[in-house]
Amino acid sequence: MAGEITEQKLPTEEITPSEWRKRLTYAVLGSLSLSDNIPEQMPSDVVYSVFYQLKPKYPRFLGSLNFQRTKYATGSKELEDILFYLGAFGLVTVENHDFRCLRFSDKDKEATKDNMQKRMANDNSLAELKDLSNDFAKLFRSQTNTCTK
Amino acid sequence: MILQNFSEVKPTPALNKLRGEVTEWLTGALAGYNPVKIRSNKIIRDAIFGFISTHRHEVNIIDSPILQRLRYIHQNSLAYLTYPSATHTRFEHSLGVMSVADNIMQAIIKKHDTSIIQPLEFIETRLAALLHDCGHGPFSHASEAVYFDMATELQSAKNEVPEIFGGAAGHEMLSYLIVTSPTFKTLLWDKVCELYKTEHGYYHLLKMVSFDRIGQMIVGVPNTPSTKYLTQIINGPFDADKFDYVIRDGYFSGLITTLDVDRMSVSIDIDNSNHDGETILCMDIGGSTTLEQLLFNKMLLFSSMYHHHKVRAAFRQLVALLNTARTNKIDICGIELASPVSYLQLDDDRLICDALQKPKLKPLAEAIRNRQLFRRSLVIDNQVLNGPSARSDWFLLSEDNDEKLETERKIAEIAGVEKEQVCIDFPPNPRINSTAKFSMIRRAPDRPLVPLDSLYPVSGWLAGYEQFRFRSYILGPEGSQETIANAAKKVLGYIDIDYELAGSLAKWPNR
Repeated sequence: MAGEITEQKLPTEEITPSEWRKRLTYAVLGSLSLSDNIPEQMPSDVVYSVFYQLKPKYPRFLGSLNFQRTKYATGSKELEDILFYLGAFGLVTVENHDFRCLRFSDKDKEATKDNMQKRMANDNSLAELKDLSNDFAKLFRSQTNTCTK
Repeated sequence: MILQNFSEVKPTPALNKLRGEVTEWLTGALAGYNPVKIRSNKIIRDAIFGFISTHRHEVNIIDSPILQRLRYIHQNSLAYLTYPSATHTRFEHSLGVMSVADNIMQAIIKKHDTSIIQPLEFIETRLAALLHDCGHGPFSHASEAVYFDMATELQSAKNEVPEIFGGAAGHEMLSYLIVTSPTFKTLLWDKVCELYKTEHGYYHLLKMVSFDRIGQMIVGVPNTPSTKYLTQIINGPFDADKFDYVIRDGYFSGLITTLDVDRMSVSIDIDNSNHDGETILCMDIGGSTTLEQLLFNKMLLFSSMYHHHKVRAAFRQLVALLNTARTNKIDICGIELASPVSYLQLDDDRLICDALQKPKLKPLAEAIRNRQLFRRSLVIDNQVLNGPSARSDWFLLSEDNDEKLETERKIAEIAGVEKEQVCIDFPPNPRINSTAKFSMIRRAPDRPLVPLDSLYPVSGWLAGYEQFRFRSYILGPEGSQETIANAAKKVLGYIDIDYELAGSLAKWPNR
């Protein structure tokens, strides 16, 4: 449940960076698409902050995320890379250039959701991804309702 | 977490294995090196910064095989096959970074007083700048792409010691392991110190140098909160590394990149107004234009050079060569590319020369040597991806290395070419958002700092690039573009791509 993040241990098996990247990608896409409660428009600062809060609970998916945090901002190179490709291939657009408000349209979200469910039909981690997405939605909504600027 | 010394870094299996391999390499590399006493400080003429002053102990380090090796590692991999004059190396870049780091420290002293940076901190920060890239393998980031993406050792070390390696790139981790190795100290640094034993003050200072602190600076981990700015000079949002490579890569490629280093020197400062005990690097508002120039030029270098389709093609061919050697256990100069550390034994020349002698690697090496670069069969950007499902599929392919390799293999099979001759290339993110987010600007004395992205619309700018200019490629050998495009169409049939447009963007000869 959001707000009750329980820290889990990192997986001990040897995982290649490629596999970590794949897991992270699924976690980000899953978070943004599998729950019905994610708004289309999302301030990217909040996206970073929510993933920061979720990392301890979902180390299997988010274990390779590293964060840099200051009073002013939360950053992560790994997340920045994924958001870049989401933008480059048109899944996410930037609505407000000053604020970097990401827009993941319902249409794109639905297609991504179907795609992920298809790919992970026989994968028991889909359930965990759905939990992750629900937690993401709750935390996200608790921190902002709209992209204000 | 701020670590005071290396003894606080817990030993772990992956880290121990890497440390053992680095020790073995250093033992061999430094075996024949006996530093000689240098009588006076030296100056080195640099194309970018003019004379770079070096202290005597630095000359000893520069003369060592650890730094000399960098003369044979090109700064921009094979970019010189597209930009002929971009033949500069990691060696002069390392000297340049030391020069910029010194400029920044001098600028800070001018604004405060000489006691603000202690002589020992000066020595350590300059050494960190000089040694920051000593972990690069042949062709810089090309070998890094192979040993970091394919091997588990570095990632395991990252997971086991995130407080040190969490944010570090592969070559930074190797640089850290080199300089913090006891062998580096006994076979190099202790010998250097001994040379100056009769000069008590100097000797005493050199003996106090901590390579654990230097290593932490290289991976961007502050030694203490109050000296965080020194680490940021080496590895931070606007560090000496970026200042040097943006100017140097622009100059040697022929691209017009300018950076007002004088303005930077006047405006750079430190700040501890956050009351959290940290002293960080910041820029007065007047110098924010230098940071804007830095980001603008970085973006220019990405769009014109690092992401140039021919530069990417050459890069992918190198990666294919290294992967072929690695997966087939073909040694290069007697070295099996099994571990990230093995790449430290090689440089650009040795790699290509030896690959030319190996039957399985020869075609790939010859293609590089003779500049027979891959051609674009298809150009995939967001305008050729028809609809949400295609966008989502292509994005997932970009992030799944196994699926990408399997797709390449299938395309090659249908096209009737060798599997290493087909490549799906996704150029890397320029990562300018994080620079803008964490570069702090001071608008007035005693006022809170603001991040650079509050006054400069960097993210919108990057969004423009990613949405309208960024392209991924399906690459293959000359003469096979259409065959590969047709094969790709069959293999990627599940993705709704406008193949007509993707082909026309690739500009085949018959189009």
